[in-house]
Amino acid sequence: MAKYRGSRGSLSQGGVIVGSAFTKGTRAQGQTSHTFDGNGATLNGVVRPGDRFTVAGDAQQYTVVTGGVIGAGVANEVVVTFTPAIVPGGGWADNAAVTFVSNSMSQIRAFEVELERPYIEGTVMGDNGQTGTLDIPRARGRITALLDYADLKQKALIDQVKSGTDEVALALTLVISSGKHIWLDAFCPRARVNAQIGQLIPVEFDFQSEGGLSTSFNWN
Amino acid sequence: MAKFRGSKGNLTIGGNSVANLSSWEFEIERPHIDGTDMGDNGVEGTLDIPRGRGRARVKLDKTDTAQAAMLDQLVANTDPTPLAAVFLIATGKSINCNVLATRGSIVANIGQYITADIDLVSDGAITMPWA
Repeated sequence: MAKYRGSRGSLSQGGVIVGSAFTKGTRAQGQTSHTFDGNGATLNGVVRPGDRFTVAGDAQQYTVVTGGVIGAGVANEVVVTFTPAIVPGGGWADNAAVTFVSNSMSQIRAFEVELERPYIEGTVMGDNGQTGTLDIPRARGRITALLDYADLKQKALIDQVKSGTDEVALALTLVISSGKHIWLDAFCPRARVNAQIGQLIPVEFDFQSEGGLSTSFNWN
Repeated sequence: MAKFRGSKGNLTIGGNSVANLSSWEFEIERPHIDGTDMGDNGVEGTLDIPRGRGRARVKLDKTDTAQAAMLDQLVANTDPTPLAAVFLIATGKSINCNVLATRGSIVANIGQYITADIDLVSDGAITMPWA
């Protein structure tokens, strides 16, 4: 069985695309959804709300509204909705290259995630051993990085902690290896910065899951 | 008397051997029910039904059927079906029970393999065959 070195891991605040994406078929001006595929090659990963991309021949940058796990329906394909609507009068050509903006967070040293389903005991008189069931799943974790507020992905987590507004959960993708991800929506309730003589300044982000986890493992 | 090396151990979940297994542990408990009465010259009581909790430490690989069974149970919201577990000490010697996966802690660090610690609780009877 495979083993995965921590040094090969990474973390994205958003989706992760493995391979090269292309438009599947043409799409007319004004449309807000389309299918992307690998144009005959392997494409996998996860497309998350907030991811940004451009299409060859179109100067507009688009933002994903809904995406999903690539290949969850049809292999090497994902259906994406986006905003704004397609701008060019001629729309998009078939097999046009789709370039996603990287969501990779810089200077990651470590990450950990704890998945939990609280145990609900259901033992009754007469049972010959403890019995029960499991409650809804939840996850919490920690990301350790070298502090750099100029990194927009670190900034998004730090800004969520120091803001006083109602927050929208952030998309996190923990990359184990190429094509192997743990992804979830999460809030960042805590960021801890520790400065010491003789060391680079690290930051630890705690995160707490928001919503379901049933598809959180993408393991291609 | 025999002694048993950890490196000879194993863990199966749902009939499948857990790959990349670094260690397992299992704690069996029968809670004490105090029945001491006035006039007793020492604590007296009995034991309640047995319960167990365990932990499997692996190098993460969800391609493995047994690891996947435990991890899938952790992220689902469906009523779980207990998994048959055999904590093997040596051939013919094991701790057997059904289990539910309650927690999985996945850690990635530079310089190490990515690991997962998966906590399990027993469901129903616990047996300990010792051939």
